[in-house]
Amino acid sequence: MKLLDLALLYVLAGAACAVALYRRAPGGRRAALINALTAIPLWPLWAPIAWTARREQVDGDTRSSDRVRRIRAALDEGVESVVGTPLERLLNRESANQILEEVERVVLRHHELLALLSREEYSRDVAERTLETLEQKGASARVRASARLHLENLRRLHQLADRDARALEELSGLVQALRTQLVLVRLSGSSAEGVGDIVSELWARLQGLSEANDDAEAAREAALCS
Amino acid sequence: MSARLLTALLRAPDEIADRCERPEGMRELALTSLVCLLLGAAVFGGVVGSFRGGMQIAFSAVKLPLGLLATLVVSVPAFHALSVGFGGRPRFNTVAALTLSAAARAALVLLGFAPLLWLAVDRGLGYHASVLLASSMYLGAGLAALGIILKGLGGSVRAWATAAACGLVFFGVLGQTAWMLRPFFGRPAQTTVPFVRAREGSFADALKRSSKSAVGIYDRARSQQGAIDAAGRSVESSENDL
Repeated sequence: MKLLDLALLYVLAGAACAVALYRRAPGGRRAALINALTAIPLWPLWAPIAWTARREQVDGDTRSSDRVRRIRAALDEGVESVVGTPLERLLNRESANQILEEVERVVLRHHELLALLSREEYSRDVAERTLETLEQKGASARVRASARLHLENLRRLHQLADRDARALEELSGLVQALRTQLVLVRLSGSSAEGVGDIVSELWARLQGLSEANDDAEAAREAALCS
Repeated sequence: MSARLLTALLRAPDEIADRCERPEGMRELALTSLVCLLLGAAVFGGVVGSFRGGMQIAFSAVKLPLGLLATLVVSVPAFHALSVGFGGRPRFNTVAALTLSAAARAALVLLGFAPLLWLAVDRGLGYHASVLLASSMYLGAGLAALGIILKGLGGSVRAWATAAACGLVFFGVLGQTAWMLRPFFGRPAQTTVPFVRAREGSFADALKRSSKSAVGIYDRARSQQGAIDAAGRSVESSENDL
């Protein structure tokens, strides 16, 4: 066997692995293409990894705990900075605890949503491919409609999860800003005009997050039923 | 490509070895490792090629990662067989991921060494000294890679024995691959820069010849032919002078 024949066999084996990996890849088209193209020259090394690899689960516990910890620390500092001052009416221990409880509830729901979405049966990519396959095979209208509804619900769930993550980050930023504003007002004696606005915005955001999580519950139930 | 994984490759071989055991996130690790390997080896290859300059820079920047990847592709099945033979029970994908991560770590170390080699070459370090310097840098990079391999194999006596056997296979294959892809440094006196030189035996033949030469044993037939060729050229040039 000449070197050229061996090289040709190698490339053919690589191409076969590439096709198999492309069809199997759970990620988007771009990720599947990268996977497949990498397999052609490197299949002895790449194929075993790509064939068995799974998506990394989001470590919701660590991120959520960090977020809650940051918010708790900022609220504690804010409350301590205004104890015994007129600003205490804006942020006292009771209202700080209420804010923290609401945040913890929202974070817990967000974590549950993330855990749900990391499961295979809630994968958006799998649902998209299933719908594509059904349409190619000419499945009945009812079957296609169910698959489309399932996909739509999954998309809504993913959008809600992304929106919640952003909102929680904004909330964390807002609490930190409130803390800093309160400390500044206490130490510099400047006007507390902005503090009330930040507190109002904080409550408005929490309200918005609560409503968004009610939507998430509804979408989840709809996805379960579809 | 993940900054977190990049940091772990350099500073946390334990974490990398753990990740190689789990299928979750293995593709991301492998992709990050591949990018680091290509980048690190290409940059180091370019610096090696800067000894000759010109097209040698580009050629060496391509050949070094190519040689390393070809070596890994050939060696990984042997590594798995050796691991199982020495009593371990790693999965093939774990061995592949571990090898790729270790090679990525070595490539990142080479990337770190590249400015030193560049400075040395720029300051006029000679050919043989540059080759020795680059070789010692490869050795350093190899030791860094060993850190991940040993963590992945468990750090026991069996792990050391397995790593040593895999190392023999690796350097043998790497040597032959590098021999086929040479030159990497190139000589400044060369008028043309070939991508690869003509095959002149194998790496094993060259090692054997060099070992004999080092102890003063020269191949008689070759040395006689060499002397005859040199004499012929000198007669020819004298005739031309006349």
